[in-house]
Amino acid sequence: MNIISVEHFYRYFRIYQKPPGVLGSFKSLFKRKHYDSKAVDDISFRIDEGELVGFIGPNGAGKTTTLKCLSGLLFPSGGKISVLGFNPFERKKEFLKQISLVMGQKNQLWWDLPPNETFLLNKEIYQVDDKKYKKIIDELSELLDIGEILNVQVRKLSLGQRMKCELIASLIHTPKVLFLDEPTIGLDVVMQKNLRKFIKEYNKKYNSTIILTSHYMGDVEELCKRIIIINLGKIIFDGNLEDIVKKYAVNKLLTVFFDKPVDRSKLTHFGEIKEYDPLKVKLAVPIENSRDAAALILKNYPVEDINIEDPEIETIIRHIFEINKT
Amino acid sequence: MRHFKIILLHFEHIVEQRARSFVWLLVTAINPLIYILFWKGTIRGAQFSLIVTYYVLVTIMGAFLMSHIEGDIAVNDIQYGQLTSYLVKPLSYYWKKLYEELPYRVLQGFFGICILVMLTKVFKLSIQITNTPNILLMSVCVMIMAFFIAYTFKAVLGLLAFWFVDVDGLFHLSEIIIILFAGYIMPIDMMPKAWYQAAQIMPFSSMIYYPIIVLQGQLNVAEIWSVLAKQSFWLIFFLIIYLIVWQRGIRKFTALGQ
Repeated sequence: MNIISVEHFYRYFRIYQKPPGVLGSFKSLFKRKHYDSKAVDDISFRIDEGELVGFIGPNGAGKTTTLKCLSGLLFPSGGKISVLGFNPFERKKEFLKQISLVMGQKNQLWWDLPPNETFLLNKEIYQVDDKKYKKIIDELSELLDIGEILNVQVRKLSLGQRMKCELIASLIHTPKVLFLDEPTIGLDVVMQKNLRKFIKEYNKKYNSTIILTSHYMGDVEELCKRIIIINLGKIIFDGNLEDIVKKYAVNKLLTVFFDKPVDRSKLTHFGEIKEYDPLKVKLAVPIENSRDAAALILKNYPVEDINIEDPEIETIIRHIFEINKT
Repeated sequence: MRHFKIILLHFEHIVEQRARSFVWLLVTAINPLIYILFWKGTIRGAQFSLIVTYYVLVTIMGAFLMSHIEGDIAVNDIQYGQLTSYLVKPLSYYWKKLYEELPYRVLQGFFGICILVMLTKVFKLSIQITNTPNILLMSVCVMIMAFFIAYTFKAVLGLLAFWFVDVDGLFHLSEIIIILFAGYIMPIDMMPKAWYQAAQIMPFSSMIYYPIIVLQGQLNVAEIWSVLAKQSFWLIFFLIIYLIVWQRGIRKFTALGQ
């Protein structure tokens, strides 16, 4: 069942320009030049109930704009958006009670009070009954392991602890649809891992539909089966993460460990040398030649060990962005 | 009940910032106190008592009724994009901001009353307030209306940040107009005739001047009804403006890069 449906959606922003200098300032008082920046340009996709979808793209690709339109924060310039059967921009109470938006760079916690007070405020705003509230707080604080900080002033918490509390504050009403915009931004690797684990478990436990944007490929790799790649306002890939390797990976990575030193010049014809020392080489070999290259290396050189792997997702995605630059 | 709980939670938040509230009250209390000193040298007797009462009430009413929400709306919510966290919640922005503002007014008003009690004891001031129950009751109604008019007017001012990047000048201008026409400098009936007539036409006298003179018992029941009618007109007027500005502004709110 489709929970989110987006058809030919676009969002343009009018950007005004000012010519340089004082004269330019006077001129712009009377006539200002402008152009329409296409933040999102005619995109369509559908997301089913319970899916956890990664929405990725470089800065300015249109990810956050899309998320804001899906959550009703921005008015779309055109196209059709439906979330849980509602038009998000109408921001009907029944709609808002079923969604949540978490932005890594924005916070809703009261700085001078413990997080528990913000949770209570959201409990009242979302009209969650006492029993359900207690149950969800117990569950979420256990999942995130923050039981002991619920009564500590927010200003005294670490960034990671605050982010965990932000997540709980956004989930008190157990939203059916959750929009996560860079939830792990600024967190250390341990905290990133904890949050990913939490998001995964939350998705499984409540069968909630989650869209996640992130700059960290680790987030997407660990959490999302399906990814949507957006660049310059257009969707350039929408499918399973593993398909992206099949579709866009040009090379395989061969890591070879030698018993005896091997000269660099003898290896260059197999492919691009990524790393080299006389006893170890990392080669990027075209996929169609990778088997033959491995066989030849095993046959002709003193190989102690060989490892063949797909390139990192991050490398593939960088490659996709490069080929879609224009 | 739900709304009352939300107000209580906000009150808890404000209590954490009680020192800030008290400092702001002192800032707003300084001007009326200077005016009292000024009048002390020019009038004596019962009239002086009336004037002292007026200025003490200006301080208290200013603290209780005059909202200062515009900067928060313009800068934090619209310019820094904090509005996003309000828009995704199932509670209207108007009420949510009002619940944030109300505890500030209550706390500042409480501080104001403390100062009033202290001043009357220390300086043996005579404060003249009506003791007629129905006038007192009507006075509470006039005050509630005054709070809503001031709050809605300030909210509209703040929302203008949807269109203007720099709204500080506009806020200062509105403060000056309020000081001149709401009765902060002196009771508007003591001002030149043209000034008084202008103040009567404008909404600002409904925010401070009328709540004070009603509480002082200077108006009869019929006159208070006409004040309430005038206040109702201004409240409806500002509410309509608020809705128009909000509905148009929210479409303009781009949150680009926020």
